[in-house]
Amino acid sequence: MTMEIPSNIERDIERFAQKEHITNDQAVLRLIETGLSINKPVPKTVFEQGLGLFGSPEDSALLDEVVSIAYEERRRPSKPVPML
Amino acid sequence: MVKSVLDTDILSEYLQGHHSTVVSHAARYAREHGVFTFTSVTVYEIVYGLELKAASSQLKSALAWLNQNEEITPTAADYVNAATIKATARKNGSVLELPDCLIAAVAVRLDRPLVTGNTEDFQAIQKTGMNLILENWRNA
Repeated sequence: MTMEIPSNIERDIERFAQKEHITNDQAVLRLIETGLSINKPVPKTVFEQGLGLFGSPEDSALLDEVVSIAYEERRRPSKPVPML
Repeated sequence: MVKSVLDTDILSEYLQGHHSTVVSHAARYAREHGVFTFTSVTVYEIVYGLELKAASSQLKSALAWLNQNEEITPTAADYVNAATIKATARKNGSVLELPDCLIAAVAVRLDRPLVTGNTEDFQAIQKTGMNLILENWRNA
């Protein structure tokens, strides 16, 4: 890939290269990489992925039902408890 | 904030994201530990309920998220301890079912607090003499 760099930007690149003690080519690459990384989406954490996963009214109601079923099962004695 | 075991009710309230106190506790916990810990009992209960409601897309999303966390499967020793808990509670007049007893046995083995809103049933387990520490993220 080749491209024409306007003289004002070329001066900025040279200044950046001098400041960082790197070659002009390295400076161009580093600046491009930095620019590209800004637009990269940051992966969501496990916390962010889970928060509100069931946040819609329909999904919230569904999860409430799931928990109700679970707790109903937990409290249901398997058979009548005989006197000890 | 020490590592804890989350019960199904608190985990579901975080997944709903509506209870601000639960969410705030969960955020603080996640900052320190990255992922949440729960037992296979909780995974079973969520899968069972969603299967029963034929909610296949929600089941897929739930499993994808659950799999990124720490799931503790009860060991043989946990089942033995759960049996002791259940028998002792029954002698004390409380009828408990296996899920509560297993979750408590896992939390005690790991020496981690159990985070639950279902404090009443687990208090019956505490009365059996088990060193079960309870936390309720619904409280500030």
